Amino acid sequence: MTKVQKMSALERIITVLDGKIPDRVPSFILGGDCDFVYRFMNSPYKLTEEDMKQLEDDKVSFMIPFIHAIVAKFSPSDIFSGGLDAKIDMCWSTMGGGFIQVSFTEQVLLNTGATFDVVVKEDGIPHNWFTGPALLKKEYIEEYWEKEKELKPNPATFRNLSKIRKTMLEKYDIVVSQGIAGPFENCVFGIGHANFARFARKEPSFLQQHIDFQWETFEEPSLKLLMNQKPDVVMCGDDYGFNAGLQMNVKNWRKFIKPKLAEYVKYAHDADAKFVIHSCGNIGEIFPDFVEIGIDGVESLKPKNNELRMYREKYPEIALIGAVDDSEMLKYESPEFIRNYIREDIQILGKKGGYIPGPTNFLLDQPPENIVALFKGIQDYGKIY
Amino acid sequence: MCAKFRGIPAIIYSSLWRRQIFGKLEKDFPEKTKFAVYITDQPPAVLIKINNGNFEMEKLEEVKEISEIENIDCDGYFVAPQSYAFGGPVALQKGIKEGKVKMKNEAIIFSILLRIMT
Repeated sequence: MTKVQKMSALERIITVLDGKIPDRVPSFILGGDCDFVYRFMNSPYKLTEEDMKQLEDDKVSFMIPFIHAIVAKFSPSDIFSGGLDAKIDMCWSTMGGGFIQVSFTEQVLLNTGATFDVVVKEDGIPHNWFTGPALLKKEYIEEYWEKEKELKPNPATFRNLSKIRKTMLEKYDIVVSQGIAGPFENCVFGIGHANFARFARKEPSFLQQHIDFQWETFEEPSLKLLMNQKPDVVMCGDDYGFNAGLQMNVKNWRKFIKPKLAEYVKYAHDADAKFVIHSCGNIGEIFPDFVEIGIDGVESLKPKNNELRMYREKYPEIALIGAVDDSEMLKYESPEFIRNYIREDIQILGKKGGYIPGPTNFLLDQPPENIVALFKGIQDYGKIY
Repeated sequence: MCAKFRGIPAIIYSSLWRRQIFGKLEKDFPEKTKFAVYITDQPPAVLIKINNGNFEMEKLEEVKEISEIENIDCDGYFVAPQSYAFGGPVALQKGIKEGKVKMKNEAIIFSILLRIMT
């Protein structure tokens, strides 16, 4: 048997997304919010002054929730002298749009037409919240369409993404998957789920017009700007599921969302990049569609809501990414439990490749020792090939 | 829900908090600074003190009118409705002409706000 040579993180990730067997099972993290950052920076694993000096010299991003500085801290000591030796192979960063102002509300809106708030609770930890759709009437949507010029993406923000990605890859051997929001989130964050369902049923051409407007105004231009920066892996967030199934009728997903998602995939593949979709919830119903449009990997996959073994057997073309329960197991169990869990999990889901484990979503209030145990476990037990 | 701060004051707090938790606040704000921000459609005004790698933000419940911000002991202040604050340089210039945007020590305030928002 030929011994597999040690791969770089990029080789390892691309190998898995190509459906081949890497040197070991790679790992992934989406990021963490301020609550997790607070816990981490008050734990024994926190970034030291020496760490900070190196990270700043290397121009690593400290932005939350992507937490690249903390992700780098998980590196082995031959990469980062103060590293935790619990290597993370891939993380994420994504671009939002700007703000718009409209006549029907005093509130400043996100580019999708959504309202938002930043809240500092009594414990002094900040939180960013999506607070609901603002385009609740047809005439509001039509006024939104008049904001076309203000909704255009800013090229400078995409150039910055490229710097972030290159820094992490060259200095820390970490792949940064990059992307934009998907067509469903862009639509429902602005008009709301109820309007999506109502228009899909009663005025499908109006809904299609809105989806096309967002595609032409900022989704396609953003994808062009993103692909100009030549990312290796594109990962777009677009939550289709809830715990028991899709947030919409699958016919509506296929009619309104799938064609646009297929365009996203095409943009990535035309530039020789891999395409990964992040979608929370139970999304098994549309896995065959993901295969059809050529998606390389699906991320999130809370194990209680998804039949992961079935996905692995039935859809070997698609790599499973995430899939480690962060809402209960990583929050409440012990580091020892988590190490044992990931050892067995890798044996089951990773034995034929196609698996990049990690927390299913942004880290929130999980104990840092559990997160270190998870990534150390993936590093230690991932050598199964 | 009980919140200490919301809206633009919370955005400012969030930016300073991120620098503080990562130990970068003193480098980014080496000078001792005390400034007030009053988003007129998101009261109350707040007073922000930055010193030696730490910051404090307190509500100024006593400020009810724009003119009352003059009574606050600070190095500078920024007063604007939310829409003008988010609107960029053009909106700010418009707001200054209309008397809806007011600043004390513009150079200091702009320098601080620019660092906070980047």
